[in-house]
Amino acid sequence: MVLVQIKNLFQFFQNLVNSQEKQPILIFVAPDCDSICSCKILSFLFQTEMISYSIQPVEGYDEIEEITSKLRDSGIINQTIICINCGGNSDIYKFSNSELDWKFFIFDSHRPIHLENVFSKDQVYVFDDGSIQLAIPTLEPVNTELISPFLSKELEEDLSFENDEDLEDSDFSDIENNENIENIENLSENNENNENNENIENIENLSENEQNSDDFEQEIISVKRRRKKKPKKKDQKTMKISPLIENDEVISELDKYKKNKTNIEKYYSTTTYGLSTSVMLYTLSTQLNRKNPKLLWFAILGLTEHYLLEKIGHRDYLEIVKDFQEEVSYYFPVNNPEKSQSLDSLRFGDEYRLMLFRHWNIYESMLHSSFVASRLGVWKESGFSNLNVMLAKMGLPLDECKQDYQSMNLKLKEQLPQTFRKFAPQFGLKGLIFPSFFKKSAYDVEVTASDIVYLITSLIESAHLNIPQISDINKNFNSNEFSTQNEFSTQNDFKMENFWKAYDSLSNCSSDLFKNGIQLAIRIQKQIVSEGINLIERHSIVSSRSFRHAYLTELSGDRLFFKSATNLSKLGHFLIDIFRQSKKEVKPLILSSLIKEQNIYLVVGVSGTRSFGDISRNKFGQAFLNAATQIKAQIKRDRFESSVMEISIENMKNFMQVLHTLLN
Amino acid sequence: MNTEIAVELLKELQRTTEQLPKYDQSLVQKVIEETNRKQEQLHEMVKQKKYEDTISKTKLHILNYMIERNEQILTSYHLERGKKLIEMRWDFGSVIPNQIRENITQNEESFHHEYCQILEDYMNSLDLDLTQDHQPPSNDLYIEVRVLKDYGQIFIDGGQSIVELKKNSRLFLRRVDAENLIREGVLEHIISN
Repeated sequence: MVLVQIKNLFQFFQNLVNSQEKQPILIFVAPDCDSICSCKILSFLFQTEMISYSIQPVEGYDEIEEITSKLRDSGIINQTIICINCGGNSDIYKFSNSELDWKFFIFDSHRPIHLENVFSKDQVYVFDDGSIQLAIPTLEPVNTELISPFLSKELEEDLSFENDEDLEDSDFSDIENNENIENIENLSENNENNENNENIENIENLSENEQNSDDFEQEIISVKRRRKKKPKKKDQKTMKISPLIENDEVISELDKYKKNKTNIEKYYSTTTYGLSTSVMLYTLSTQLNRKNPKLLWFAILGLTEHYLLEKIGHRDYLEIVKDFQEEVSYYFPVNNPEKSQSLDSLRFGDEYRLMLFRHWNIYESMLHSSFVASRLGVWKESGFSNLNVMLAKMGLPLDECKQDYQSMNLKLKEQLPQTFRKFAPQFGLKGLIFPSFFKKSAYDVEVTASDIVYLITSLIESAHLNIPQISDINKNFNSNEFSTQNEFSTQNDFKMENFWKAYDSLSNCSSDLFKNGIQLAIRIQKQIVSEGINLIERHSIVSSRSFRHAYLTELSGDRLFFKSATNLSKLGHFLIDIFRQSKKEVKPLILSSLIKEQNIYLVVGVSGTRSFGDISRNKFGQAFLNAATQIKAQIKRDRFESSVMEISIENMKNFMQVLHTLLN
Repeated sequence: MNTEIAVELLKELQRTTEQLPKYDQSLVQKVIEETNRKQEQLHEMVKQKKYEDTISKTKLHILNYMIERNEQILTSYHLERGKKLIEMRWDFGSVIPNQIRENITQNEESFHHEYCQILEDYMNSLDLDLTQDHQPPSNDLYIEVRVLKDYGQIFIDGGQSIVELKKNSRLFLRRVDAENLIREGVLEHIISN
């Protein structure tokens, strides 16, 4: 594999451009805002170079398998595959085989990256913001032949799961961890060979194109491990630890082996996120001298999505915002009012954690924004009156706040920044204000990055709704006008259509789609807040020593939104925020929604830290896997977020019990 | 009387509803005769040295002018016809339709023939048929399309590459590869700004 650092992005692109290959590039895109923005940037860059490509939105590794298997069957030898926000945490090369000359380029913000992608293949390129390189565990070379007779029974069991029939239904990623342990041997062996024979920065095996670029060769940290043929059966292993290990050498090798194993386990134990891919691709466009405000806006959206969905923390966000602020003032200098009115312009400014209030009204936005709702405790009597008191103190008359923001008194609107800055901390709303960016189109209302992120995310997360683009003037903008799918039919998924609507809305958003999308986002948020409050008031959240858990059952009407993992995750973060504010211990939270038609529970694990704005590492990815393998349950865990999984209803109870014991 | 006959020629060209009216030999002849007469008159006057007084000078000027004008008109006439013949090569090809054939002279025919020859030689040297596309290539050499139904695999780039057409994916490829499938309804052109 090749870990390509950001500064060398442009070389990858030049190689693609210069390659003689005519085969259209296949781009797999995960369904989220950051991926869509990245895809937009990438497709723009390809279009300027007249490179053909094909975009395939995918939701999980099973879909990737479906598509790649067709390609494999047709025997296409040369194929370039780009994975956006997918492919990182699984051994991507397994979708190809040794007879084909496929190349994989992974732009994935999920961490940790699967070590197979890092260590074994030249055909896999992973683009690193720096965090991948830092996180890779140090592995020491081990003389496996020496220690193999003495390996513990425990290891034998780990390895034997490879052949376990019960895991048939679960995807490759379930066994990934076990494979990894097996691979420690291979890695160590290869490590040894490499040290003896080759220069680690061996360039001979690179493709012809890359050989032409000298700088690239020197810069790449190419960890070349020649892939050894993995023996199918571990027939060397015996079941017992020999009590007669007298040889010191063997003891030290065993120690090293165990150390490696622990390091690898630690590497996979928690998940987090790295740099947003759209930001990385914007950097690419800068290196290619093709950057422009449109691409900058996409990068801003990707970054904002990561921030709002709590994938990155406040500090990281601020760092990048600073850079973008400079970019914005470069494109749209403040002192230049002559700039053409017909172009979209961006500006830097303060944004509030009042979701979509500019397209709604202040009162409702406060009532329903996760940030405000959790801190003011608006479901309680005291909280509710607190809200009114706060608005009064701010000098915002209730009737003004309750009417459409657009029609609110201009003077009040102008004073809002000051007002919020002054009064927000007094009411426990510290952190209400954060720096962000605004976009003004010539004939439209100004929108913020958060607005668009919510719009896009809502469109994607509404697979059960057909969102109309053209409004019927006679119809009221009552959101019940959206036609819903039959509860029992899963065939009519508008998932794909909505994905593309979201994608297109970034280029030319019709005002109808915009209005509908905003309505949708508001609807989802209302549902999240009301569900959260519901769960709390009914005490449905079970707390154990190391985590909390709640079930969501009887999904109907708007609660159908909780069939989506992202919405569950948002709900989870909201609940964690509530616990944070009520000074209760902040524990990770698992939410399981029952999806009757498919006979499964959709389980999402969310975690948070004591202080808002810091990001904690999520340990559910590994925990789910361990619990499931222990009870030999059928689970489906092939989405790109490893803390999301589906489990059959029968196994749920058992699963939770085991999870409790494992984590407590 | 003066240059009116010549102007008649031009009017003929202008008025015609056909591609090319019949070459008016008689009229051309008349114009030539008239011009020659004027020329003789001019020569006479010069020979007899009858250009001392103003009236004679004027007359000489006018004669000269008329001669030149006739020449000019004749040249225009023939040039116009020639241009039309060239145009015909680009519109119809190297074979002149019979109706028009009737209207042109032997000279014009051989002019047309020679032009065709020159063009042919030039195109052969370029190995390119220039007369195929009258418009320059449009901006969208490559277009973005959405796939409306599962269609399986297709060959593009003259058979060099294979693409799998799966419903709900999008492609960016050459217009020529996509056009047939757009017509069939498998693909749909995405127009965006």
